Amino acid sequence: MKSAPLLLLLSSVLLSSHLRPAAGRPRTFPGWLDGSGRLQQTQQMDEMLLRAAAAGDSSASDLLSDNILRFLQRRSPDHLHLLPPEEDESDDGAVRTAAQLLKRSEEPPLSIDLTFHLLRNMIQMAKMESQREQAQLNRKVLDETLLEIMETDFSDPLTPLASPLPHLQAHNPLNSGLLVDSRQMGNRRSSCHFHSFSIV
Amino acid sequence: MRVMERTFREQLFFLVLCLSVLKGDSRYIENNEISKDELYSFFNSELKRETPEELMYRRPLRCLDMVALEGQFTFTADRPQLSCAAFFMAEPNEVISVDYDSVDIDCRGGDFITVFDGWVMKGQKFPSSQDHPLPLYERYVDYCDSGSLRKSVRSSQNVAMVFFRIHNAGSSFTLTVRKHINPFPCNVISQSPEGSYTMVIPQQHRNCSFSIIYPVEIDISEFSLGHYNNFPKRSMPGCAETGDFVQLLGGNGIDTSKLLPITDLCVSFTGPTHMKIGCDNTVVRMVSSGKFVNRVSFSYRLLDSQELQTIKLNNVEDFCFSN
Repeated sequence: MKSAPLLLLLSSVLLSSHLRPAAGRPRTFPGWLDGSGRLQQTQQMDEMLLRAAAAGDSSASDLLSDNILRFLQRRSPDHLHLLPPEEDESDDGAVRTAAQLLKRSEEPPLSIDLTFHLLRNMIQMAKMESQREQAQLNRKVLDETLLEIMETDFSDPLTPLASPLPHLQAHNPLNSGLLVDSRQMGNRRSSCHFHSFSIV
Repeated sequence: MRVMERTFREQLFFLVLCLSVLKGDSRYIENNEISKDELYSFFNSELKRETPEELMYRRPLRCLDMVALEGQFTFTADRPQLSCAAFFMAEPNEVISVDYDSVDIDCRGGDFITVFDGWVMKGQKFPSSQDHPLPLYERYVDYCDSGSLRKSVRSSQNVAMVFFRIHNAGSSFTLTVRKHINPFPCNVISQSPEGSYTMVIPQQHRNCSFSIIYPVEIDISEFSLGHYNNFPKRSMPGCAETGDFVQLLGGNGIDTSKLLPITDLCVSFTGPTHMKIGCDNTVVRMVSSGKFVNRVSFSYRLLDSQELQTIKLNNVEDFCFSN
């Protein structure tokens, strides 16, 4: 009788001890780094990008990468003066790694400048790619299924299929038409025509 | 007498069962489960859809890319690429998980791969800080800072993105993108300019937004905030006082907290509920106190250039407006 609540306690302790390990957090941002300064620079960036986009057609990623690089370079001189002016030769390497870590943790949150027009085009292309791939996958699965059906011996109506039907991304129309006259199916094996259709 | 009746009933049921089995009605009972029938599989609430290796989609990742399907994407730097970003997108009821497969970059040389939980554009984030459960610094997960601890990052909504920088030619990394079902999606970016959606917040104190990054005509067809669902719909001026209401926002950025409200709907409204919003981003946002199960259903379609022109001509202000 006494062991039951003890068992419950033990099991609850064990279950609750499955805590998620805390991911390593980057160092906290100093107060003066976040806020207003970044907003102004972002606005300047916007204007620059808009002007460049209006001027002509340059490839989007090159334009963006140049601007982002310039953006980051503009910010880094602000941070470099944080390092101590005198550097001991003995721990030069340590100071350099410390500087790198400091620079990385104090960089503004990453962002990308993209117009809505470009974003919409990219979404459209990605959707087309996804649909194309899904159609190909469905066709592959369908072909495998049909091959398996054709190889199954239909003279014995109780023979199950060798493996379960793979999962298609749409309603499988084969289920309803499977139980046809087995003799006809056997004779028609060599001259089967299947309309290929894409299931999306 | 009663025992006789019982055995007779049992025999009758057994007979009926046998007849139905022989008749073949049971052939429709098929195991189309995508999870294996393991003994403790019902403890595992997530369906493990394991794609076999040969069916997994693979392609190279570009410096600026958008990915809307599952698969493995490898980025190989042929020259230093210092500012790259890839966007991931899924269906509204899915979340995205990104796994690092083989990463060969020089962390100490300044390379990084950072996954962001949401989308960032021009400094604006979706979902906004008010609508997202995590603080901002937790939404950026850097491989170099936490690579060995976190091999997999999962988003909280249907969009995610990754920023990366490679200094040395020849460095590469592979990401495996998977999608998982999210039964109660909160923040969504719509993949298409047309469609319909129902947003449900089941008694949670949170705000959820549905973002359509197109100028659309939106039609709110149904709307229930807890026990107010029987009342005819009416828009009140003092909506913000009630804890549960629906906002229509519009603007030119993806941060919902920086968009301008077009209208608030709380208790009820009469008449047509169509609105044409000529903004680049149209958002339906639901504010929920947590006391009720709130639901809003709406449909939307893209505005063609004629309608957009009409809207622009009818308004003196520069701000995208609705009529």
